[in-house]
Amino acid sequence: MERNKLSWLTLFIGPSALWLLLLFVLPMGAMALFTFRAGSFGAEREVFTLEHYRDFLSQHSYHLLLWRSTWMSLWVAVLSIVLSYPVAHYLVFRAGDRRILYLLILMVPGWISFLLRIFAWKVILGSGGALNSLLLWSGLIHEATPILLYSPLAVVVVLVYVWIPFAALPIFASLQRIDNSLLEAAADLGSPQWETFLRVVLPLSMPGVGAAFFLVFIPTLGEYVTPLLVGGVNGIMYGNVIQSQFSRALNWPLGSLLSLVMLVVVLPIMLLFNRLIKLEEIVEI
Amino acid sequence: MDEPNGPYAVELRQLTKQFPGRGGGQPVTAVDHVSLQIGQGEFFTLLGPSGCGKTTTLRMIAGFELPTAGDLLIQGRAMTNIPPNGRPVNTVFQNYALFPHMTVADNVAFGLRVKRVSKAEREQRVQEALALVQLSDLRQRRPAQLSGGQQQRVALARAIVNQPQVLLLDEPLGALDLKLRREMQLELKHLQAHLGITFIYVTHDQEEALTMSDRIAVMQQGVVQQAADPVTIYEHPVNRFVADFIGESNFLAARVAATTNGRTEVDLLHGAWRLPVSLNGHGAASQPALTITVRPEKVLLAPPAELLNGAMAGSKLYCAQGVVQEAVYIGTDTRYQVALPTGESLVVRAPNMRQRGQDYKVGDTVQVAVYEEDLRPLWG
Repeated sequence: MERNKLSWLTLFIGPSALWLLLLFVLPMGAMALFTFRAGSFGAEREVFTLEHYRDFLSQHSYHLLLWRSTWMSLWVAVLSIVLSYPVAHYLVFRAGDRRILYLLILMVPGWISFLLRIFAWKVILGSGGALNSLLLWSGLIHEATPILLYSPLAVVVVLVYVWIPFAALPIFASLQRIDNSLLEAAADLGSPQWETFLRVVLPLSMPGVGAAFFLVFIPTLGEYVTPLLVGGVNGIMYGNVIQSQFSRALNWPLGSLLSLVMLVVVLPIMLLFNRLIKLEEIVEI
Repeated sequence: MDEPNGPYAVELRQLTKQFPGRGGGQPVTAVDHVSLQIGQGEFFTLLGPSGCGKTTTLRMIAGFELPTAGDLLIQGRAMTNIPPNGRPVNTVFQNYALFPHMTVADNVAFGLRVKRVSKAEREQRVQEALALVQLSDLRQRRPAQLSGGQQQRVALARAIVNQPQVLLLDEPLGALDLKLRREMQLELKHLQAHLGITFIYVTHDQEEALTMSDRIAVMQQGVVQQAADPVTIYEHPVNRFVADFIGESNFLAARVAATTNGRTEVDLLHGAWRLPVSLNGHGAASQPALTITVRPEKVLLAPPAELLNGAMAGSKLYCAQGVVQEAVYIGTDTRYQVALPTGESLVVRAPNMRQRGQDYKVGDTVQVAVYEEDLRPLWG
C-alpha cells in the first residue's frame, strides 16, 4: 500500500523533479562553481581563485549599477502595477460580460515581436520622433530634445509599456476572486465606494499585486535588450554588464559572479514583500 | 393614511423588479407589484420556493437592487433610490460575507469605523455585540478559523452592532446542520425580542417560518400569495399554492351544487359529501369548480362510535370508507394513504398515542372522518 503510493507519486512528480534538477539546480551549481575559476577556458579554467570576488568588491561601478538597476526595476514594477491596476479593476467590475474580450485585446500587442515594438518606441521618442514633434507643435519646447530617447527614463517607459498586460493578469485574477457579496456587505455597513475599495478590495487583491510585482521586477532586473536599444550610455543596466562579460569580455567567472550577486539581492526583496502582504493569510479563503 | 403607531418600519408600494432577459429575450419579472406593510418590531418572514422573488425583494429593501417600479419606504422615509450605505438597515448575508482579511473584532467594527464612531465607543459596542452572540473569546480569530455556526454569529454581530432600525436576514441559517439551525432559530427569536429591532427574514423553510415569525408573506412567481400570522397561514390558506407549500394538504375537487337563501353548498367525493361554504366574495356562478383542502392530521382514522353519533355538538362530521394503500411509521405519528371508493385518496396522519407501531396495514379497510370546519374551500 505504502509502496504503491510512493511509486505513483514518483511517476507523477518524477519527470518535473528531474527537469528541475537537470535544468535549474545543476546549472545553478555549475554557475556557483564557475565563480571560483580563474578563467573561462583551457588551463585557467582548472585554477580556483577568489580573484573575481575581490574584483567585484573593489569595483564600485558594479555596485552602483546594481543599485541603479534595482531602483529602475522597482520603478518599472511599481509603475506597471499602478497603471495596470485600474485596467484590471475596470475589466472585473465594470466591463461585465465583455471582460474576457477586453482582456484578450489587452494581450494583442504581445503577439507582435518584442523588438519591433521597441523600435516603434524609438520612432516615438527619437529626436525627430512623434513625441518631439508634438511637443514642438504645442509650443511647450522650442527645439527637439534628445533626452526622451537614450536615457534611463526611456528604458523605464518602454519596459512599463511592455509589462502592463502581464501585470494586469494576476491583478485581474485576484480581483475576480473577490465575492461580490463582500462589496455589498461593505456598502450595507455604510461604507462609501472609495472606502470599500481601500478597506476591502485593495487588501484582498494584494496577492495579485504581489504576483504582478515579481512578474515584472525579476525579469526587469536581468533585462539587457531594452537598455541596449533605448537606454544609451546612461541607461545601461546590470544585465548589460553580465551580458558583456559572457559575450565580449569572455570573462565567464565574473559574469557568473555578477549573476549570483543579483540572485542574492532579489531573494531578500522577495521575502520582505511576502511578509508585507501576508500572502498565506489571505489565500486561506 | 391610517398609521396609528407612527410610520411602518418598512412599507412596499407596488414594488416591481424586472431583470433583462438573457440574450435580449423577454424581461423576467422577479417581483411583481408587491405591497407590504411591516410594523415596528415585527418579525416578518418572506417565504417561498427558490426563484419566487423573496430574495430580490429583500435586496431591494437593502438597496442592492433598484426597483423597476413602485416605492419603498423605511421608517416613513422614501428610500427607493438611496444607495445601500444611506439606509438605516443592515443585512445578514446567506454566505455570511465576512471579510476574510480581518479579525472577528475588525469585521464587527467595520460599520462603526466607516461611520467614524470614536475608538472608545467603538470598542465598547463591539465588545457588547460579541458578548451578545457569545463570541468574546474569539475576537482575534479570522473567519477562516471559525465554524459555520460561529461565522453566522459574527455576521449577526457585525450587523446588529450598528443598531439598525431594520435587520434583513437572507436565509441566514441555510448552511447550518439541523440541530444547530434549531438552536439558532430560538436564539434569533430571543435576540429579536431583546433588541426590539424589526426583522425581515427570508427563508424557503416553511417550518422555520412558522416557528419564528410574527407574520409570514408567502411568495410565488414574484407575487405575495398571502400575508398573515402563522396560524392563519396554516389554518386558512387562501389558495392551493399556500396550502401545498406550507405543510401537507389533501386536495379534493368540488363543485357548486346549490345556492339557496344566500347559502352555497358544494358537492365533493361525487356527491357523497355536501358541504356549506362561505363565498368570501367569490361568485359561485362564475366559478362552479373549486378545491376543498384538509390537513392530514385533521383527518380522523376510525373515529370512535361516540364521535360518529354526534357527541361533538355543533359540528358535523363527514365520513367515508377507504382502503389503506400505504402506511409509513414516522415516530410521533403514522402517515397513511387511504384510497376512497370515489377514486380519490386522502393522506392521514394519525398520532401514535398508545401504540408502538401500525394500527392498520396495507389493504385494511378503515373509516375516515373530517369535521366540517376542517374542510377549507380554496377558490381559484
